Amino acid sequence: MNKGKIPLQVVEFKGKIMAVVDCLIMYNFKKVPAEFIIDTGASVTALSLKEAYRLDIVFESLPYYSKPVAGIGGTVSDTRVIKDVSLVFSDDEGKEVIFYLEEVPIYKPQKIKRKEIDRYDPEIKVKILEAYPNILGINVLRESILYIDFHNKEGYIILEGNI
Amino acid sequence: MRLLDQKSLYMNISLEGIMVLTCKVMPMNVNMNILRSFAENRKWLYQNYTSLAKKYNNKFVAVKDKKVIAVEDTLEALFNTLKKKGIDAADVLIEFLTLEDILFLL
Repeated sequence: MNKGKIPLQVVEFKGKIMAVVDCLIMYNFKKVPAEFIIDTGASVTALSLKEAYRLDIVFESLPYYSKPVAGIGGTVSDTRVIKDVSLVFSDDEGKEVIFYLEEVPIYKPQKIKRKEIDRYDPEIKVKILEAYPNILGINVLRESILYIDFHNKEGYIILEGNI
Repeated sequence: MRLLDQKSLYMNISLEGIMVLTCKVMPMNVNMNILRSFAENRKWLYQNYTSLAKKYNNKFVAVKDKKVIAVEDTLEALFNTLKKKGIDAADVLIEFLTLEDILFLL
């Protein structure tokens, strides 16, 4: 098991700022580079819909995720799951840190129409979420040391792989 | 380097009663340059977000080598276009560009 200091990217656009980490998603002999938002409020690590396409998966063919999912935004309608996924990070010395996950949910957002948000096209919100970065949740972060300096736009995770 | 995934080890007993250990081997020739190139494309996209969003407002785009290589209205259409062009979706950055200012509560 490798332990490493993995650099974070603190990215800013349209006045919003977020901390992301890049890794390779390895699933079913495919390896796909992907970005994950650091989300200490998320119970699990989850993939967005675009990743299903990039991993060559037909979302509708996947089994349903067995656990109920709730989000503050309330736009997740359908959650499926893929099994035996490895996230391969690169530490600051270029060494690999591999985190194996038995299962990873993939979420599909839905349109919601509420009076107070009717002035926005609900389809736009769905489309943003379909292509949104993936979420690195507490099931990966719980054993890590996390440092984020939003002011200086830098940060890192000290993470120990589990295989 | 090849990684032997411990979770993929299986023990089978054949008809002849011989114990056979089988395993699934994952290819691990991971070239971390892929990650570097991915990060560079994202940096380029966010640096040019406003001008790109003006040009491709409310569109899905695919970015490779700091260039927009495909533009579509839906995610499905974008991946179909990439397939037609013979481009592996794993090699590109996918983003939805919009001038709408939407806040997120994840």
